[in-house]
Order: sequence, then C-alpha cells, then structure tokens
Amino acid sequence: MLKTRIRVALLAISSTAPQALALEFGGGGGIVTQGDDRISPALQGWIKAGRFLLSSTFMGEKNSAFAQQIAFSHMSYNANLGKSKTIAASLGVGGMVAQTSVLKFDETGNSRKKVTASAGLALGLNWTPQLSRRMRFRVSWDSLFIPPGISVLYITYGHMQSVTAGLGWDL
Amino acid sequence: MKLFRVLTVLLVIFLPARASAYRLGVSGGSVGLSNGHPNAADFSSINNYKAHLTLADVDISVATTQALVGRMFEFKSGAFVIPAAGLVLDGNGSGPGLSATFGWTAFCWGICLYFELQNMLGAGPNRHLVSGSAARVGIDYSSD
Repeated sequence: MLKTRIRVALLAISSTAPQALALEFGGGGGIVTQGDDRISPALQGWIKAGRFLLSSTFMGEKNSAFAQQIAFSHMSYNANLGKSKTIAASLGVGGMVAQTSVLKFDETGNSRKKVTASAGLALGLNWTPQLSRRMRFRVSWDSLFIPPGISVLYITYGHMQSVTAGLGWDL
Repeated sequence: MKLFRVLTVLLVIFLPARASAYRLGVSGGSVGLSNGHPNAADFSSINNYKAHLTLADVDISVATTQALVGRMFEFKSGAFVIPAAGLVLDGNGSGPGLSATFGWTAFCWGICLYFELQNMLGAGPNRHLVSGSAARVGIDYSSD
C-alpha cells in the first residue's frame, strides 16, 4: 500500500515537474565583501527549482598567522521584478559556517581551531539572461543580514555581500 | 553640481510617463559604515536617517550615506525592492555605486509604516570598495 502511494506521488511530481520545477543548476565565481575592504575571491554553486533557489558560496583566506574557510548558503524564493523575465529579487534564509585556524602554535604546542555558525536573512538581486536553449548566464548580488542574537531587540546586524557571475544549465 | 547632474540624468532614465502617485517619507535605523565598528542602532547619529520621495515608481533617496535614484517594484504582499544607482558612502570614502533595498510596507492608515534592509556597493577612492548596509524603520505618506 505504501509503495503504491509512493509511486502515485512520484508520478504526480514527475508529471508536473517540467512546468512547476524547471530545474537549473550552475556555478561561477566572484567576490565576497564583509566590509572594511575585506574582499575575498569566492566560488559559487546553485540549484534552482522553479522559483526556489539553493545557493552556496565558498571562500578562504590564508596568511602566516591564520587560515579561514567560509561557506555561505541560502535558500531563497525568486520573484521577477516588474515585467522582466531575467531580473529577479530573492528573499530567503541563509547560514554561514566559518572555520578559523590560528597557525602559530601556542605554549601547549597546539594550534587553535574555531568553528562558528550564524544564520540570518538572505536578500539578493540576480540577472539571468538566456544564452541558448538550455544555457543561462547569471550575475548575482547576494547578501546575508545576521542578527546578533534572538534576545537582542536592536536592529544591529552582521552583514556580508557577494557578487558572482557564472553559467547555469536548464535540465 | 556634478551630483545634481548625475541625479537629473538618472531621474530622466528611470522616470516613466505616469507621474502622479507619490510617496514621501523618512526612516531611521542602523547603518553599516564599514569603519571597523559594529553598526549599532544609534538613533542619535545623523548617519542613520534617510528621506525619500517615490514618484510614479521612481524613488529618490537622500541620506548622509547615499544620494540615489532607483525604481521601486512593489508586490501584492506589501514587499518592495528598489534597485538604485547614484552616490554611496561608507566610513572609508564615497563614490558612484549601486544599491538594493528590500522592504515591506506593514501598515497604512494614511501614513504607512515600513521596514527595509539595504545593500550598497560602490567604487571609492584608492581602490576602496564602498560596501555599506542599512536596516531602517520608516514612515511615509502615500497619495494612493
């Protein structure tokens, strides 16, 4: 009985998928800025299903004192601006995970490593003109507003922005 | 004078034929100036205030951190998005740039209450990337 239900559900999903879930995936690169001229090169990958977008941006920084890797992902709803078919705004939730390793050894002989995670509101604009029947160019300007804590009522926040460009393919 | 010319050119580009409905208001909140300090919600600072006029979907906004002209896109939910261009400023300089404002008009009883979050990117002096942001609460009068 359960198998039958699963089959019916899969059939229903697959029959509506081309219209409702026009799948697109892609990748590209760009920059991420966290203010104060802290600019890092970044790689970005995304999957888009209908109006929903899952995007992840990865960046890293290494110098003689520390190494840091940051992943910034968001799940957003895309809404076209006005009558445009290529310019859209995205609104969603996002998260950031940062791993920082202090490369200089402390007195115990151990290097220190810290992992921090944050979540916030993801807002962005994107432009995705069609290059061919299945290929799209994509320029995306994304941001993450991170509240300092759920118990804080002030409207202060952490903020980061990324500007990326890449290619996407419709499945 | 140069700024005025830039704003005039942008206004002509963005201004649609219909120019009757308008919104006029002020907002205040917290502005991220990228000057090494947290963007505390300091209502005593003039940095945190903005005035705007939206005339037939063309939004003109002025603050100590920006002078922008953009196009307002409104959604049925009360949400709005304003891509804009003009002059942007942060703690390390100012220059031409772009802005994206994401907001929500919450309540309207003659005067509307709205919330907005804003991203700014621009080209500052000495290869400085102007990278500001803002979170504001505002009120405006709408002629609609």
